[in-house]
Formats: sequence, C-alpha cells, structure tokens
Amino acid sequence: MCGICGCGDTPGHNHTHDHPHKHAHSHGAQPMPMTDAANEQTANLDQTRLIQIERDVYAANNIHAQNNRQRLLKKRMLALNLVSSPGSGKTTLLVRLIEQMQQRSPILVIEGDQQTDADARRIRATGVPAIQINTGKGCHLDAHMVGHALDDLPPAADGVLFIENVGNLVCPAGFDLGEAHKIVVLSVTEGEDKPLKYPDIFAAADLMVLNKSDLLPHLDFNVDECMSNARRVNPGINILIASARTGEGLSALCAWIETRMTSTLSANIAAP
Amino acid sequence: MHELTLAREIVAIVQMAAQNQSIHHIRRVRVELGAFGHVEEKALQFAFTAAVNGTLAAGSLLEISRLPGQAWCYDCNKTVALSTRLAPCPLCGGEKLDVIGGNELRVVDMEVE
Repeated sequence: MCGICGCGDTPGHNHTHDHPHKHAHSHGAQPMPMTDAANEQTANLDQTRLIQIERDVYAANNIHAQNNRQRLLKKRMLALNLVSSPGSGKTTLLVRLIEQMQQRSPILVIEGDQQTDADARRIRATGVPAIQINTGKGCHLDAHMVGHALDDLPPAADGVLFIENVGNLVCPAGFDLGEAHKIVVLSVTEGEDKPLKYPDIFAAADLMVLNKSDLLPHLDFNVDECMSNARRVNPGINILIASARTGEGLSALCAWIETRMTSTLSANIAAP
Repeated sequence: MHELTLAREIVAIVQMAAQNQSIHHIRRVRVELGAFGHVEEKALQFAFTAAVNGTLAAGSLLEISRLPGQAWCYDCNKTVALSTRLAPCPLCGGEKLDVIGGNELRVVDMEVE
C-alpha cells in the first residue's frame, strides 16, 4: 500500500521493476475438505471453495526494499536506518555525525515524522540534502515511501544515506527499507530495561548507540545492565556509548560507519 | 498500530488472489503468524474488521495460527524451540540465543463462495 500518493496501490503489481520475479497467484479452486455425510447434504447448495495463497504479508514492502537496496548498491551508498523512541536524540546525533563526516563523504538524509519538516530543516542547515517524509497518522516508514524520497534526493555516490525513522520503538522493527543496517538509539534517560521491554527492535538492529552519556552522573542508569539486556535480546549487537552534546563516542561511531562503507563498496565490486 | 498497514496488506493479497475467479464473497482468511512476529494479534483482528469494509472479504473471519519460535543456542550448538523471545534455552537454560525463526506473517489460504 502506498501511504503517500496512492500509486501502486495493489502491492507488487502496479509498479515497474527491472528484474524478473514471480507474482503471487492462486492455485485454482479446491473443494473444501468435509465429511462424506456433510458433502452429500451440501453438494448442491454449498459453493464454498478453498484457494491457496501462500504469500508473505511483508512481500510488497520487501519488493520495494529490494529495489531500494539495488539502487543504493549501484551508487555504493551505505543506507542506515535509525530507529528509537521519540526524544532519544537521533536528530542531534545525526547533525553531529554529519559535521564530522561531510568533508570526507557525500551524505543524504531522509527524515520520517508524523508531522512537520523541522528535522529536515535542521539537517539542511548543515548543508546536506534532506527529504522529509510526513507519515500523517502512520507509525513507521515503509520501503515504498523511501523509494519516492530517493527519487527526490539529488544523486550521490560513495557515501551514506541516513534514514531517520519515525520515533517509535515498536512499529519500525518489521519494515525493511532497503537499509544495510538498523541502528537503534537509546538515551540513558529511558531506562536500562528498554531492550527487554521492546525486544523486536533491538533484535533487528546491528548497533545500539547509548546516547546522552553526559547525563549519566545525574542518573541511576546502569550501563552494564543495559548492555547485558541488549545482548540477551541480540547476542550479536554492537554497542557504542555516545553523547551528541559532548562529542563522546562520536569518533567511534564514525569509524563504525566508515568500516561498513568500505564493506558496501567491496560487496558491490564482488557483485557480478 | 502498524497492524492496520498489515491488515490492509492481507486484504490486498486476498483481493488479488480473488481476481478472475468468479468469487462472490471471501468467508475466511487464514494467516500464519510466527511466535515473534511483530504483531499484536488482537490489534490485527481489530484492524482486519476495518480493512475488509467495502471489499470481497467484508465480514470475513481472520483465522490466525501461530508458528513456533526457533533459536540457535550458542551453548548447545543446536537449533531449539523457543516460546518467547526472552525465554532461556529449553535444553541448557542458557541465554545466549540467536532467534532464527518465528518472525513469519503469511497469508496461507482463503475460503470463498
């Protein structure tokens, strides 16, 4: 479903794609299994049939996500999907990251919020192109919205696309946008139990950034317990402690991203 | 509330499967939902009753069957069944588990007339 323009409303069918793939189809009618007695009684009356479908509900989103992924890979752009609850400091963190990275690499940003273009304006103030997606009542970005935003962004290559998702620790977990990695930002004011309370999003992320570390002296937040909770949900998760305000951990975060940029580049060279 | 998006997607899938099949009405839609699927079952049921309005599936029943969760246990070095994402390994009680199955949400079939 397209939540922004109504195009391609029938998922997987009214869109164009440059690769062959099979569309979902039914396998014809089969009689409903029923007992012989019931069958005799209803043979002339009941026209009930069973139609096999076997289709992933996320399939339409995943087709768009795969298209986005291919487009980005061709340009050797590393796409990072930033997820968190509202107010964790994603946008401020992003502004600081851009200040550190923009001299070295081209950067594009897609901002997702229910309303306002405030975040895109904050990003544009750094000189980096940003597109704001307003989801209206929507609680997450989907891959179709991101595909449209990519159309509207200026071309860029060999850099990073940051997608700042709608602030929500629940809904964005299940929607692939075509990103290389999900990064979950958790601020230390939110409590160390968040990975256990909202496990889906921490399970889907490759990196957890523990933000607002400058506030730690004023809080009872237990960093070790939080990290152990995150690893309980996702044993492979990377964890960095950062403060967008003081700059703590930003170099390590840049290094984490730049390492992934190199692997995106080599993956593309390795691809046929 | 992303369940509304998913409910609309389910309706779109069954409407598509109903095309050119001379179907008057969809009576029942069966979906499989993994134990760790990003879905609240009641919210999906509620959203489905709204999403079917004005479609061939209006008034139809959404039947949700659950699929078990699966995880790789780093201590046992094998795949184990898991009831919840935070449950310990049922074999060794360990907590070093990597979920490898249970995120599914799939439309299986539909009963039509």
